[in-house]
Amino acid sequence: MSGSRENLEGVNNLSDEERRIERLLAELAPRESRLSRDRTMFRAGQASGQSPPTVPRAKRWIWPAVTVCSTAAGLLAGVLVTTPSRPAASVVRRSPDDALDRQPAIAPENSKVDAETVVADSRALLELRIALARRVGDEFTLAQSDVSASDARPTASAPSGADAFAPLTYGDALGQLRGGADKKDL
Amino acid sequence: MSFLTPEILGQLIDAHAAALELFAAQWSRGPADVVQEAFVELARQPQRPDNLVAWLYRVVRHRAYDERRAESRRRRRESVAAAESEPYFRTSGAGQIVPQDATDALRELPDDLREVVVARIWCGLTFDQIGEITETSAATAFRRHQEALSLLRSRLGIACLDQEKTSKA
Repeated sequence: MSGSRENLEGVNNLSDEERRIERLLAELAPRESRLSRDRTMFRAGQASGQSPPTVPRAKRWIWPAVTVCSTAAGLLAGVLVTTPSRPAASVVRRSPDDALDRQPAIAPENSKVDAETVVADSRALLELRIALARRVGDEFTLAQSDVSASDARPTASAPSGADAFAPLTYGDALGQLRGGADKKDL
Repeated sequence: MSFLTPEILGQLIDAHAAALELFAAQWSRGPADVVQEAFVELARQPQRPDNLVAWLYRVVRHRAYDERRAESRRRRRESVAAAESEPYFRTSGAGQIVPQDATDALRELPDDLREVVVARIWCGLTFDQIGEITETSAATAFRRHQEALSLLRSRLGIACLDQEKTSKA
């Protein structure tokens, strides 16, 4: 260190003019110290007897831990906000009359359709279900409204209201389907 | 247990107290208290600092800075004015420069220049030590010292060497 200091002092030489100003200023002596020597010695003796103030190890980690936790929480919140989420499922309340115009997805709770009733979403699906029921020989019921709806256009004689969800055997359903197909052919 | 024995502390007080007070007086209204606190803090150290003198000046500087901040908050203008009228230097000197003029010229300097010139001339520190205390490089400390000397020369009306030679001739 002393070597580098000497080197620095050698490089950063003051000019003669600057040295002269330094000398003139150095002639001024700082005023006498007002420090109470005895009091300083006494207090220093007291302080030397005390152990240096140390922070407990647990306390030292409090603020870094809080910082890390809050940073992690912020990052997590940022990720959640920026990540695109799935659109929320929309719940559509439909009256039985609407079921004539649209293809029903779920039968209303207060309808006469029992738990075994299968609701068909489309004509193709309806036919598929009928075919399956035939093969298995199962009792298979359908909501009349679905049969009508699967025909795409409601007929004037189509039942309305709660009757639209009256159970229908697959034979009747097939008959209605065939009837609808005959109408189309005509 | 501290490394600081009463003998070492006495020597340090004798050798550096006046210069440390002058250094602290740049910012503090009670430089003696600041220096005393620095010595007490030194006594609390379990080990001797690497550069003891520079350590003392650094502690004094921080404490004096803090005190000035607290002082400016309190805004005790009367006591500030009284403290600022006190000269930094002994008035009995037979030098070429009037002590009060030197004090006034130093007070007019910016903080960063004044602390360097005070540390260099009256505290006898090297530019390395000054850089360590003021948290700058030694080269920066040297440049500030040159600038401070130039300003002091013009404010104190010190003639250049060339001018003195021509006036004598």
